[in-house]
Amino acid sequence: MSPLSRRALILSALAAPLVAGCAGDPADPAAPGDVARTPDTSAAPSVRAARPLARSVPVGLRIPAIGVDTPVMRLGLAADGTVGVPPVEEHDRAGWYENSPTPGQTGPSVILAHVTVGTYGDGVFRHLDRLRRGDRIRARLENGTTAEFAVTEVTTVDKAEFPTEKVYGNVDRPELRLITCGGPRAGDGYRDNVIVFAALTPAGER
Amino acid sequence: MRLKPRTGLAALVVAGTALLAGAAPALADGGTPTPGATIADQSATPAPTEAGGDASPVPAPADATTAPSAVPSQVGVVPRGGADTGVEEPSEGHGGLIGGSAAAVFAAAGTGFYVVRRRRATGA
Repeated sequence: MSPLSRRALILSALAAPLVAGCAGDPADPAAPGDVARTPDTSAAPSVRAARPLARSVPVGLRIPAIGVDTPVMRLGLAADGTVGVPPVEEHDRAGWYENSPTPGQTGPSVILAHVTVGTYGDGVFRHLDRLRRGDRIRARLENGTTAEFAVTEVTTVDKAEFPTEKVYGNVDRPELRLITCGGPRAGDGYRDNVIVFAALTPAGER
Repeated sequence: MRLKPRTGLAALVVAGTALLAGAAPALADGGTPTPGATIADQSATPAPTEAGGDASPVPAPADATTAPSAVPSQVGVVPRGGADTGVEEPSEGHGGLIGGSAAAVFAAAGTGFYVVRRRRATGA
C-alpha cells in the first residue's frame, strides 16, 4: 500500500465517526422540556381589577354603608409584635398599619379601628360586621386623591386562629383589609376579629 | 498498467469508508443513551463546570421560574396574631349586681326603720 492510499484510508476512517457524532447531538438538545415550564408562571397572574395607584399615605376613611367618616393615623407594631391599635379616647379614629402598602398600591393595605372604646362607648368600626359584598370604602390619600374599594368578603374569626397569610400575604392587585374586634366578650376583651376584605374598584382613583 | 494499483487502492478506500459508514449507525445508537446521560447531567447540574455551554442555559430558565416565589413580602413586617381592637366598657355586669344588692340592703333597712317607728308610735 502506497503512502497516499494509507492517508486516504486513515482520513476516511476518522471522518466517519465525526459525522455520526454530529448526528447524535441534535438529539441531546431535545432536553429543553424545562423551558415548557416557563408559561406556567406567566399564567399565574390573574385578571387585575384596577390599575394600582401611586404611593400616598391615607389620611381619611369613609364607609357610607355604616356611617363611618374618620381621620386615619399611622400605626406601627406593638412591643409584643402584634399590630398597633389607635389610642382609646373619646374621638376614636382608624389607623393604617404603616408596614403595609398604602391604599391603592399593589398589595394588602391594612386599616384598623376599635369596635368599642371602654367608657367612651362605640368605636369607629362598631358596625364593621354589617358590611356586605359590594359596599364601597373610600380612603382619602395625602396627595388629595381618593382610592375607592369594593367589599369582597366579610369574615369573623377567632383571634387564636387569625388568618395571617390571608390578611398580610402578597396579592396581585391593590386590596384593602379593615380589622376590628368582634364576637363574644371573653375576659378582658373580645374573642374574635372581624376582617373585611376589599379590592380597588375599576374607578380606582377618584 | 498505471491505473491498476490506483483502482485497487480506490476500491480499498471505498470499501473502508462503506464499512465505517455502516458502523456509524451503531455508534449513533450507542450515542442515543446520551440523552439519558444528559438528563442525569441536568439533575446533577450542581456541577456545571464541565459542559459550561450546555449546563448554563439549562439552570438559567430554571432559576427564572423559581425566582417569582422569592418575591419580597408586600407587608414589610408581618404582625403576630390578631388585633386587639376592642376595649370593653367597664364591666356593667358586676356594677349591676353591686347596685342591686345595695338597693336591697337599703330597702331592708328602710322597712326595719319603718316597723320600729310604727311600733313606738302605737306604744307597743
